[in-house]
Amino acid sequence: MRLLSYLGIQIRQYIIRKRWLLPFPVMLFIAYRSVNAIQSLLELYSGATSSVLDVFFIAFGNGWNVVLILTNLFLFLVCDLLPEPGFGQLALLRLGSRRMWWLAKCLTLAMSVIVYTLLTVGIVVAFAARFFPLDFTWSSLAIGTPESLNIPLFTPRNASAPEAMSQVLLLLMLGWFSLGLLIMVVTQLSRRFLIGYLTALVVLMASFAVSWISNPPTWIKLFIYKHLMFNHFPYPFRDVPVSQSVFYWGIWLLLLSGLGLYLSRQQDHLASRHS
Amino acid sequence: MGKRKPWISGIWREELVRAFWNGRFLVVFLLALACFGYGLYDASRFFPGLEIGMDTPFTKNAYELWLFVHYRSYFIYLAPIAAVLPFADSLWVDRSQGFLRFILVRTSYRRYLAAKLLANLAAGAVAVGGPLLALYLYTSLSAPRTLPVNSLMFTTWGAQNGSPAGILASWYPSHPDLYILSLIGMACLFGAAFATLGLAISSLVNNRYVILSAPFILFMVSAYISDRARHLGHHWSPETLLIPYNTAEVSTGTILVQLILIAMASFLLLYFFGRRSRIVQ
Repeated sequence: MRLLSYLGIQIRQYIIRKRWLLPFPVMLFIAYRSVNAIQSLLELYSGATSSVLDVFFIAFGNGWNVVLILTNLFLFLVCDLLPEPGFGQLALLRLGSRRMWWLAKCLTLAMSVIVYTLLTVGIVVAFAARFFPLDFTWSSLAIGTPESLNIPLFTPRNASAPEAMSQVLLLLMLGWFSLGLLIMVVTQLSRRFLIGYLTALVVLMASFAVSWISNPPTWIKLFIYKHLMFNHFPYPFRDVPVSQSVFYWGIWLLLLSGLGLYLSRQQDHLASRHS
Repeated sequence: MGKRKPWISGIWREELVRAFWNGRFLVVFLLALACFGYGLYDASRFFPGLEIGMDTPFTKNAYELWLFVHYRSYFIYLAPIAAVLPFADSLWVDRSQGFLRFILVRTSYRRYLAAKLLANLAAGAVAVGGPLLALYLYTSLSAPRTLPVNSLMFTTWGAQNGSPAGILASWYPSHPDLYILSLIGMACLFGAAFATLGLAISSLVNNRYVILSAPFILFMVSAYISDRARHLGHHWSPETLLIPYNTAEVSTGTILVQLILIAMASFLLLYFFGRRSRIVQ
């Protein structure tokens, strides 16, 4: 019961606040540009049909969008979950358990991921629905030129559209959650959320940068970008099975949540300052 | 014999020492090293063994290697941050930590601001131009300095028929050293301009992180807008101050107009928000 109350406080404190309005203008702009891109493609391939799903894939399959805007914005929204401010320290005393406290922090992060995903997908789909039919099957455009919609080649042949969509979102959500955990772990170590945020940003940007290396070496599969994206933008294919990516994120989550729990037991909360 | 008087003294010397004797320069050089390490690794993997006609791989020509690393190392995104990192937030530091009152006991505000402007401008220029100069020294020592005949760099990128485009491009085939040094000079101007902009922004806002990130954000946003606006074009992007060789429309005019705009914005900000009555409270 105490955990639920604490979770409620966390949600009111960290999710219901002004900065969570930022995804609205940002996603509307991405949706606008994605709709424009589809309309240009329809002019190019006359006779082809399109649907809302095409807009979804072009928006959430573009590496620039995902890395520089979507993930970066998410990291900004959750970067100050830690260190615990004065009020949070009092709440921790009432909670009476550091394990519960860490669990509540992870659950808050998970809630943030879910809300952010619903918000971003909802805005893109709602905007696109004004221009294209709300059809959850592959359009003729997606079947004909999947690579131009940031869909890996042969995916429309091998999987249904909702299946591909759910895989895109699963990988993004796992990635966002893991990066959020990384921020919390580094913040516990450094006691400054800015250090945590910058660390996650460096991990993200470095992985994006190495994905552009000419004649890519195999070790770049160890970097997060290959597992965050369903397609390996800018390449029109995916050379790591989705199950392997899920396994990869599983290891990240296991390591980071374990490390976070260990660090939460070592924390001297009363000495920390909310910077 | 009397002690020799330093060539520069007082607040001018103090600000220059503070700007250059600064741990953040090391951070800038380490970040640049990471970028260039990436670029050099990329160059070594770029179609290894490829030799088209007279072309040689990037790693076998000092000039081609420099240009490849300059283009592919993402240094362009580090540059606006590198420019402001050493000293652009120093006005904020002096103001917020109370040093300014003590400094103004010994010198006038006008002199202090002029010295800070000069020191920050020089630090920004060195922070952006210095790493590029170090890269030039490295490529010159590690690869043959033969003339880049039918440049592979400009054959593979942008279908430019083996030669760079834009301002001073004609220098590259016959005087590649001069061309690269002029690119480094332009990078210094870029650093000086963005460092001044950062300092000017610090007269307006009271948050160090905003001061350090605002020039980068302005750089990215203006690059995005100029690339996509119907009446502008890539030649109006601030990216061309660093990489002018992939856009034919880049000219002395486009470069000067951008630098003048940044300088004007900076001096207007300093004029309106950098007055003594506002800064010293």
